[in-house]
Amino acid sequence: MAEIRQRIIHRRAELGYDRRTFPTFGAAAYPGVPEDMDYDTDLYHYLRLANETFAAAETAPLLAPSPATRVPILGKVWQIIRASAHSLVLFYVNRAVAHQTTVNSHLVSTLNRMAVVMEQQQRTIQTLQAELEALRRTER
Amino acid sequence: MRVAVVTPRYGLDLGGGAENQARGFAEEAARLGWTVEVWTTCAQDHYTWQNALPAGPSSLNGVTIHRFPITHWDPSLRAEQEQRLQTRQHLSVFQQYQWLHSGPHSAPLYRHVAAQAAHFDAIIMLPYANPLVHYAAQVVPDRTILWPCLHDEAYAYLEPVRLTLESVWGVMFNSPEEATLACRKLGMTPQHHAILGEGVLPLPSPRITEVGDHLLYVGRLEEGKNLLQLYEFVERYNRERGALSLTVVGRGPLRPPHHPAFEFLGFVDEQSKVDACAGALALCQPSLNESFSLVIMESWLAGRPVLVHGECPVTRGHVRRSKGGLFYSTYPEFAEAVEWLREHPELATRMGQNGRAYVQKNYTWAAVTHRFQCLIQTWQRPIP
Repeated sequence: MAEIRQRIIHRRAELGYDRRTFPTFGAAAYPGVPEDMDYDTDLYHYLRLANETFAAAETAPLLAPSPATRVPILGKVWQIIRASAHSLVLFYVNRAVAHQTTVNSHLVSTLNRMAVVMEQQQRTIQTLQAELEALRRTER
Repeated sequence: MRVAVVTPRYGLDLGGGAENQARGFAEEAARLGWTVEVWTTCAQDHYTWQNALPAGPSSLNGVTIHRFPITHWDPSLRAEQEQRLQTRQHLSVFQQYQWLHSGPHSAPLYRHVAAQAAHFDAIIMLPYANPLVHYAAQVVPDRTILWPCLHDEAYAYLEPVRLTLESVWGVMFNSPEEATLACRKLGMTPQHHAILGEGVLPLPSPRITEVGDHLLYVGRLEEGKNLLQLYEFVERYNRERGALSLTVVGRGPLRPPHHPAFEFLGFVDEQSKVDACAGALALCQPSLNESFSLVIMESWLAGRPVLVHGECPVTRGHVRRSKGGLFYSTYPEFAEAVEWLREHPELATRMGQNGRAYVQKNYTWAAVTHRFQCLIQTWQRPIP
């Protein structure tokens, strides 16, 4: 097993995967904080939270026992009726949640991409600023 | 020809598409007189991976099977990564390899692959969404042919999957659309690749000759099959245009709503399934994500057209090439397609016949094994 893991590491290096970027599934992935420039910490904090939570939805039936469900025979019947009612509601709620999760996914993907584009623009600005400084120094 | 097939589970009634594909291929190879062995695990359940079957050699329908126990399996780590994948979260490279290392794995199986591979012309491994296949492929990449059954889903985007596809001797796809997904959309560069397709086993003759006016769905009753949309479309058709019923065959949590438009048959035997196909106006395949879709082939073999979702490249590709059905993307397209099939019964039957001819020409196991022989010969030939 250890030998196979070593082969995987070796093959990965051979194919140069560390230097390459690959497509990601569905949502554009959270880009992570930039390491080579200053950044707005709040922006990346909330972006990370949005990525971690956009798909989390509680849609399981919540059927806590109540005094009524403890009544012999009738309690069980009542429990079955309650479970059916919850399932019916969940059928429709799950549809709405699935749709909302898709929308959330698109919104979070958009934000992730915007963060990446902003980073690229910031790098371009920094390069241009450096060139401008150099030109000014030459003129002087 | 000497071929070994590596697959995490093998046997009758396992239910998985890739497992049936492995068995269909192995049994046809054995029937042709090839030396064929299946190297698999003792597991039957793909949730628990418990070693339910005895380790060692056995035989099934003329195929020699060697079973090995699962030795490494970290369900909690696996569940953690699976949850991230299912909720479309970003997995770091480290987490992607955690998914791979969490298993299931079988060290004795990997040792067997290393010791025996040299005695075979090719080692076929499938399916791609299982870590065991990737470890086994790294043992003998130069002899491995991956038959991935790739879907446009989260697993396909994992780096370990790319690593295997780009490391092995060759990759066999089930359809041109699957090859497009791997090579264009994902930008993978396998050493060799070819479209092999999958085989369809001959079905019993239908016992009924009269065609009904209802649609049919056959398959797993899961959200991933886009079933909710089909249920919704059928209900809406009933509200807006008149009676249309949908017969639902299969197992799973997403049973049809309690509404007169739906008839739920549950899991049925092969003969009943053929009868259901032969008696339907058309088989509807609403899934957006198929790597082959056996059920549409079965409907065609029963002589009936299919109605598929236009956003699934694979099923739409089959329909276009075969002229064996129609496709839809929106409700108005769905409703018009149903109307058209109802108003043109003769043309609908002809579509079914087109589909049958398409399956018989391309997707019998005899055709698949013949293509396999040809591709092995081509790949073995030294590049000039």
